[in-house]
Amino acid sequence: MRLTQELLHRHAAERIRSFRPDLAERLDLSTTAGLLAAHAEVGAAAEETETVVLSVIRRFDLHSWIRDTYAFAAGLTPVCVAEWRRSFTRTIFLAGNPENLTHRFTFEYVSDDRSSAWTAPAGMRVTTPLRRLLKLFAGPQRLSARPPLTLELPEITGRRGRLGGRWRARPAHEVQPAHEARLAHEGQPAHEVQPPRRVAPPTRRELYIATAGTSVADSVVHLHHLLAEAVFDGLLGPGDRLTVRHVPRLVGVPGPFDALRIGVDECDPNRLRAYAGLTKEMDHD
Amino acid sequence: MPAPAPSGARRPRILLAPVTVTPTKPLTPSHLKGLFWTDVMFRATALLADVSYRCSHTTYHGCEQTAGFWEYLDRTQGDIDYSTYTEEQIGELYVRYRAVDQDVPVDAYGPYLDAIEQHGWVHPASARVLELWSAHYARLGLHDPGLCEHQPPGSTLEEMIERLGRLGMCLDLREHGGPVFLDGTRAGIPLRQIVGADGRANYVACALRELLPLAPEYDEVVLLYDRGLEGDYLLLQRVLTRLGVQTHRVGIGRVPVNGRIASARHGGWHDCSAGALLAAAGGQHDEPALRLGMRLYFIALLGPGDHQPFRHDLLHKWLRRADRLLADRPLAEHPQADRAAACGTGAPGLVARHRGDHCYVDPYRLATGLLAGRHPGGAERELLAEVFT
Repeated sequence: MRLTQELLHRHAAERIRSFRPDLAERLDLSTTAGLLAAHAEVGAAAEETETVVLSVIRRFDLHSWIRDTYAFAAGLTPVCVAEWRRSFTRTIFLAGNPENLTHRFTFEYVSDDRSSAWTAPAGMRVTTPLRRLLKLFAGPQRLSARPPLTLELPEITGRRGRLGGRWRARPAHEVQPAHEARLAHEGQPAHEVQPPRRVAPPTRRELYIATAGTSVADSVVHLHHLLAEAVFDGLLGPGDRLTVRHVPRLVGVPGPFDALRIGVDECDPNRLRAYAGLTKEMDHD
Repeated sequence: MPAPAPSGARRPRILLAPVTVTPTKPLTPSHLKGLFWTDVMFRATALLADVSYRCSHTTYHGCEQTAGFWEYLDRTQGDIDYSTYTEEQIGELYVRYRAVDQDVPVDAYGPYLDAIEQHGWVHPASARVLELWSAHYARLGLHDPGLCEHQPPGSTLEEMIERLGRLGMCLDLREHGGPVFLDGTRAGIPLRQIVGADGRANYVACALRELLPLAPEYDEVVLLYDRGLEGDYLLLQRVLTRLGVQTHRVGIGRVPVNGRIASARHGGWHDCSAGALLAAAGGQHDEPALRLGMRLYFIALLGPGDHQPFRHDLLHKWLRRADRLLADRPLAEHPQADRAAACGTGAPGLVARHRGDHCYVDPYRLATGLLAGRHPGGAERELLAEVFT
């Protein structure tokens, strides 16, 4: 499967069509200009209408972070997912230490080692207090290429609140602003999370990450979108194994791909390129 | 001789840590106010406690305002003889430096930072400024905390970052090329960058290098600063409190000149730099009156806020008032005689009233109390001799 401009274009257009059919009706997504216009319109959306997730990072370790991103996305309610997808899974990545924040803010998910945390999807205005406290996550260096490594996605426990009630998921019928939600106390029942439906045994896929022309901060953005959307599309589930491969660019990599993270080529604004890709299920090794 | 402590009780140990003035320009009225405030606090509190006055220029030479200025000078001015320059001339060069859009590669600062760290090197321009300031300090009776001495901070940058991390107040993103932040978010204070992505430490980082190892040796630490730095000093107080050190903040308002509170980077010292004020006043008043009048004006009249603009006429009025105050309460020819006579009950008892709920003495309360003239004569004379002249 070669990642031609036509294929990349089709994937990018399909993403817009599935998230925002209204944009697909109005704009000609068959052209690069149409794609860019759709993204520009999404980017220019009034803050009041945007649904956003804040992702707080104290220390970025790629493989742990992939597992935690999956766990966060897999625990979201369908209502949250739908709202967030309309905003193209918009996420703001902030540098911060969750240890210093969990008593003051409600998080949807906090990693076991407290190195990263995510808020539930919410209106932009609601996120203002936390955004004012922190800074954008800065990782200008290139993501280091590492040998391939296979990691296993975690089981999602039926209940959130593993940290003694300092964070909880929202009930399915309710999408409350983060700071207005009461902090769950010790002993209060946490929200019952619907684990992703698993109709087949765990699978293995390859996750390709490009390292050329991107920084750590860029890679965080690309991977976050790819992984979250793969969860929502039912491509990833608990127990699945991902073999993470770093390549300068997604050139000559064997596919086929079930999911691609596509953006404008930093070398040529008239071309698209893939920054990350998730292959179809592989045979078990 | 300071009053003895009550029997059985150790005198408290207090650290005064005022913000330093970058040695690149003349001392302005705002600077003088801070210096007098600190000096009166130091000398008054020393009557009651063991006080250390820590003000090290060495610690802050590596900041962009200073090392960057040195690099700019060498690159644009070449080898000139700063030993004959006035503060105003060096200050004009500093204004030019701050006005230029710097696009200096980080490598350019490396040799300067190395020289500062490795052997306490000081650029001749700043050495000249510090030499001139030393002379002003002597004329004004200001305690010299070692302006020209090599006083390196007690920890390296790495040691400081590691210590801050153990306090849970450091966010270090250097692994991926990012900056280092001082993290006060637990107290609801936004992240504050202290080391840039280019590796350069700012003045907050320098202050932490100095204070983290030093502060725990004291019972009380007093941070003095101009109110424009309120946010940073609130954070520094949080860090020291987290270390278990009782820490107080004393923010002092700047002095508007010609209707504006301007940063020294824009110049504006006109005829009210320390040198100019001494030149204008020096010949008309003897030294004790000069020192007393300056302190009363900058502390009692200007007060802790920033509303009172600088006025030459009012300063001279207070210098004349100081003449009269001293004429009415002549200092003993041998001040030690007064001290011996009043030991234990005089000035120490008087200053103790102006401590509030902390060990350090409040200079504003002390100065205004002196002017109210409610104190016994002997104690007042001792106070004038020990603290205000």
